[in-house]
Amino acid sequence: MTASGHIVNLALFDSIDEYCDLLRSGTAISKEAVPETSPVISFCENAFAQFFENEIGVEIAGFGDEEKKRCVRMRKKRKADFSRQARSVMSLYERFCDIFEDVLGAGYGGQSAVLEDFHRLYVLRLISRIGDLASIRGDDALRVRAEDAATGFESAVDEYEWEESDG
Amino acid sequence: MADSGERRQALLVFVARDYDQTAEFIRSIVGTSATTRGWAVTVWLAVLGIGVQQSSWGLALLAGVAMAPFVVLDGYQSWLYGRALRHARALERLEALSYVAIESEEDDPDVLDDLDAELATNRFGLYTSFRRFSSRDLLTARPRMVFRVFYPGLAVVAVATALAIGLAHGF
Repeated sequence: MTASGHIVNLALFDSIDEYCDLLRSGTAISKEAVPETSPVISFCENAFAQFFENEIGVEIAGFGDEEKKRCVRMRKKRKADFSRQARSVMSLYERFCDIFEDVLGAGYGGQSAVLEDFHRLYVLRLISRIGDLASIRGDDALRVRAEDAATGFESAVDEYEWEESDG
Repeated sequence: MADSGERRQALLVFVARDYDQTAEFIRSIVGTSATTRGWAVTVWLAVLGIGVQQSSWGLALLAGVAMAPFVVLDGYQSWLYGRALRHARALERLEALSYVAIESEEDDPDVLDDLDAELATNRFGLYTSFRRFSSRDLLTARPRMVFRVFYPGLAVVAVATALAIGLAHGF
């Protein structure tokens, strides 16, 4: 648990607000990639790290293959130990591991579709699943903060001019 | 009426067929591009070699100019490759999603909806996604190394050789 007693620190959601401003100003994405120093990347890394530490009880940081394997093993082996909401965050983490390098610009072709999915599906879902988790734990402060962040993020993503996907 | 599982399976068969055709197209484009670059170097070397041998600055310069058709041809192939690659990646994402759906369907409440949405919006077929090629597409041709270093490098060497011959033997 964080010092404030939440699974994920409330202040972390300030990164999402900051990133919404970047999206609205059109400077969030550069050269078909989300910069590694972007607030949204920092949010995802820290949100998952805090979730694993506070909810699952392990230290997992980063989005590599080894980390993904550890997560899958835990989700399968200790299924009964975790709530459905926690398992949904774990499976989302595994999907993050698959696309993370592409989001940072390592992909080759079709980048626009990857980036749009990252925002519309992955990040938004991460925020709302943290909210679901907070909800079943009765952590209203975190649930409300997550809901606010999700609403702001969704509207900023809708306002952003995405390149047309031509897959 | 097929249930959603059967419908998904049927659509994934189309995706697999589309992917195979796209992969085949990419293979042929890669082969053609390699041949084009091989011919470009051969022509460049031959013309430049004759220019040096005959101390002709004009021939040396021609070696550089002769790269232009190869750049256009290779650029066109690269453009086709880029389009096909995007299509292949979109199909791979779809297949990866169906993989994830099978693996973690019970733990991920949204994965089947994602898969259905992707299947519904996927545009079947590679050639229908092609539009008319324009000279502006050459600016975005890939790999960038080939179009920003390789061809310009050949042209620069040809011009430098022409200058050297001209200065040594007169223009």
